Amino acid sequence: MLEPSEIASIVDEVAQGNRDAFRQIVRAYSLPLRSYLASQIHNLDDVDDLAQEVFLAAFRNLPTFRRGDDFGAWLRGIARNKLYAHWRRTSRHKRAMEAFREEVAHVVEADLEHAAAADRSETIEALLRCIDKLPEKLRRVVRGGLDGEKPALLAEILATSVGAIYNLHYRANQLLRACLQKELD
Amino acid sequence: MDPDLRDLLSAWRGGDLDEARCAELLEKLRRDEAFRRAFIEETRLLGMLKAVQSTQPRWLVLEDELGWSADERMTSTALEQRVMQHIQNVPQAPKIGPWKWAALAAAVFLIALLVFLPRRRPQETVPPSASPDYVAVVVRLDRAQWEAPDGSHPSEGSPLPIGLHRLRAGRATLTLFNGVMLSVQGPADLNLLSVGRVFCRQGKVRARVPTGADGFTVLAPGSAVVDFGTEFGLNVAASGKAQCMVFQGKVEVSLLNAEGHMLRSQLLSEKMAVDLDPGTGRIQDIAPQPDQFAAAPEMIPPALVLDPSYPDEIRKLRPWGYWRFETQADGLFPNEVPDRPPLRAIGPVSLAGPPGDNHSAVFAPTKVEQYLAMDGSWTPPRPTGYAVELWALSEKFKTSALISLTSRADEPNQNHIFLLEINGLSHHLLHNPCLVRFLDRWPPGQAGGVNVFSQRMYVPYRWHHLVAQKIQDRLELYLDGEFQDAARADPDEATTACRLLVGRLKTDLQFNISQIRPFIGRLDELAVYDRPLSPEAIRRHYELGTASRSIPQGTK
Repeated sequence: MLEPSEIASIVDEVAQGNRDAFRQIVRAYSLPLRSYLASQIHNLDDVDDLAQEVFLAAFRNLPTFRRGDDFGAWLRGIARNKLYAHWRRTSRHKRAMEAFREEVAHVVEADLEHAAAADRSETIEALLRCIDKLPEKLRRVVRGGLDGEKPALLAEILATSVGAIYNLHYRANQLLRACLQKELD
Repeated sequence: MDPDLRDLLSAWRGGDLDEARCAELLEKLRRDEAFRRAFIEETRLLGMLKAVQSTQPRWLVLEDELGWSADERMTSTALEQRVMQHIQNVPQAPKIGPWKWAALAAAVFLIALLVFLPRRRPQETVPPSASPDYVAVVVRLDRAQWEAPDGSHPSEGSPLPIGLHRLRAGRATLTLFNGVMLSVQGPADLNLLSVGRVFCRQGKVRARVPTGADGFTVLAPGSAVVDFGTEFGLNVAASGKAQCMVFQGKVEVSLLNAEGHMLRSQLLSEKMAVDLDPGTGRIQDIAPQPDQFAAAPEMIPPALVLDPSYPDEIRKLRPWGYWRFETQADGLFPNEVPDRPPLRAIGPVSLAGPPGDNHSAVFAPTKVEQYLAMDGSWTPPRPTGYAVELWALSEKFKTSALISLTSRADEPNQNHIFLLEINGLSHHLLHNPCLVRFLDRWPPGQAGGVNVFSQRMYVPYRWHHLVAQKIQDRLELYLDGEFQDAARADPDEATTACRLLVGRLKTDLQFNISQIRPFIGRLDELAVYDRPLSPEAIRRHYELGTASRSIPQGTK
């Protein structure tokens, strides 16, 4: 994450025509932003498309950013708007489940924003080391993911039930959180 | 784990729930703060896991708006190398080709990368234990001279990772993990983008695409060929001009604009050929000249050359059954152990091998049912241990059953207690593709059980020695004399009389291909034992067949 003074300096540079300075923002916030989006929509292509839209919107509206504010929170605010627009688009054309997910997002919005404020690139990257320390079976489940049909496929491959896959992932997440705590202490 | 949390996470990650359950969970989420917190904790971590385990993409629109990429579009090489380095530290390559084609090539390449490359973190953030992104293996080299910046020279049997591979001269034949056979004639610059996409900057390539890998695409500067289940050749000149000919089936050839979008396209059927000229934007029919394209590789499986002492070494260990596949009469392959049942050929299983030399059972590509079934039953002593040993040569990367044991008591159901198979590419597998799998299942059934996978992949057109065995509650898998992995079987002392099937998971044509997993290739020296083998014996058996460890040279 960048310090407020660094953000201010980037905003100045961009205002003076140095668009390349925005690269630092993309670098610093890419992983937390993609994580934030991926916590709310499961399709990775949608995550990455939206992340690009968020950065574009941030770049275009950079003059409106109030110096001293939390830049990450500002970015997540843009992301929320993009997410809602995404859900509106998809729920019109797709299914009731998309509308349900949008409703869930509204319900958890404030709490999620509060929790995500603490997310840092270093924290997220430390996850890679922690995944490696998981027992083999849990590592497989974590790498397999929980989106769409994956739990059912994982269950078949690991010769277990879908419910057990969720339980294993839940257990893995507990271990990962404990590991992250240690890594970052 | 709280069932409500599990259901909510499942729906959140793409699953379905009925309306009433959705309403119930929403209500709980609104009023129960602890539940809401638990849900957020899980989804945040799941989001982080997804982001950190995937590649940060190139955001073209953003880069355009910020003006980052203009200078890099001057040469295709610069852009290509930058993107590839971003993905996996591919060494720098010298610039080639006139600049007027470069922007076109860059755009094509970039679009291909963005659309098709697996999303991975850059290599510097991948844990050291991660294996490279292999997508193919070299199955045959004909006077091939590689030109790798790092001095590497892939040999027959070498896996090839995503990235640029230069062939200065000669010919290399690769099998991609999706079963596509690709023959490359040097001088050629071939960039393996993924298992389904290659970029040929220059050179001659010929692709044979099996069913299931349709859509395989060869990109070139300013053009592309998309397969519709076929065999085709593409010659790409350094100028970007290309020629395509279809030997079998159908393809779509396209010219692409500077953004990599299709400008115009044409369907080509068998024995049709065209000139593709991105400069003039024209696709022109030409007279087909097959000899101008890379020749089809003659992939002749090698013989399994065994030391003469091999059969006696096996007999000394007193196998319960031993089938050498040296003779076949009335559709029966005899058992070397007296009074033990033969294997009965169903379908066109045949013998191969010159007179006086070792023979093997051939499972040729066919649309009819083809397998070997043992008359009678074998009861593997599961409580104490047993072993299954054989030599196998697969002609494909494809999920194929080698040996199946199904419970006689459950017939006509085909409930497995043992399966030894080779795997192909599957997007939902948790392990690497193209491994050997040993499954132990008790009670007999159609799902469940304990799996052991090989650490190493098998290589098409190469003989591999396999041993799968159970020692009390321990399952072990050996490949080419080396221990691969072990797992603890579900605790149970039971066993049952089994039907032994060779080259197929299940019999009956009512099943689809994934349920029968037919094997295409050769098998030899199948032995089953009422006891496990020692690591020394396994190693010794493998060494007695090491004379066969070469790739096809037309020896059989």
